[in-house]
Amino acid sequence: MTKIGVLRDIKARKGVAANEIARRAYLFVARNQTLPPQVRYQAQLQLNTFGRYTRPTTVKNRCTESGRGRGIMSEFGLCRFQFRLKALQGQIPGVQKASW
Amino acid sequence: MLAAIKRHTAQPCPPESALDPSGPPTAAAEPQWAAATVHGRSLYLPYQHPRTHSIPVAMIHFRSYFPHLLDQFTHFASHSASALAIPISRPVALPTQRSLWTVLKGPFAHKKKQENFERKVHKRAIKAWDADPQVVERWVKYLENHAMGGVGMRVIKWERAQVGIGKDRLDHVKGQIRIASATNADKVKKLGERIVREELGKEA
Repeated sequence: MTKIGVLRDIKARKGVAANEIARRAYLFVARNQTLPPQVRYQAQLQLNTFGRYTRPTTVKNRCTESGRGRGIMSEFGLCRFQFRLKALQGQIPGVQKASW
Repeated sequence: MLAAIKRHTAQPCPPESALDPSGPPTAAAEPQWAAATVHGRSLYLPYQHPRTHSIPVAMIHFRSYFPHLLDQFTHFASHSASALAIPISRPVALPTQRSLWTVLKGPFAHKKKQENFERKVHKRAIKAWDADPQVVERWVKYLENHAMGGVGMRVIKWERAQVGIGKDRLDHVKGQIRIASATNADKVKKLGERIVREELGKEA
């Protein structure tokens, strides 16, 4: 049973990857101080036309096991509970219960 | 395992005459070779070849989550370097990196019940001096071919070039490029002479 958030995130990642070059080009024009203001304004308007699934800010790390959106550890791609379950089973290389 | 290694008696290298491959194979070659080979050599620490000039040639870093794997592989690396007569250092332990994660034990709430997890990255370094670059390359290739699971290796090599190599390379490149603007009369003359010489050499 997939979570809708996971599906949205996948769509966002695909969209961002497909449109990254165009977005960066428009952004370059819009932020460039040496270009005339009309051109910059047009570029900014074009940027505004992009949908939400093309913006990099829409991309959110999710747990690869459970799809949880919070408590994600980027190094493992897991949420804290899944990380704990796998670490206790020995499925994460090198990770062990700390004691000192 | 390392306690079994006798630290104060390192085995000497077998004499070179016993290992000489040139010349016709004699009847005594095989037993002589076998007698010269030190069986169980790996029980001892490798023979430390003395540095001739102390010029650093390579440095290998080993990393692993498990120190016993590191000990095994550095032992292997040291012995292989000794067999190739590369002067090396003892495996030096670099500071261990420790990452700590504190996570809630349950999937929901219960902030006061947490658990600590850690991951330690153990590191060793072996430095090599004085050997030829081809020998070092052989050693590194050998280690890569017999790489150990769970141990990562990073090799830093230093090679030396003769003084003035930058200028030589630049001249070579400039000679390859045709500069259409101005032709140097001397260069053309020299080129002509060279061509004449080559042609005469072919005819002769």
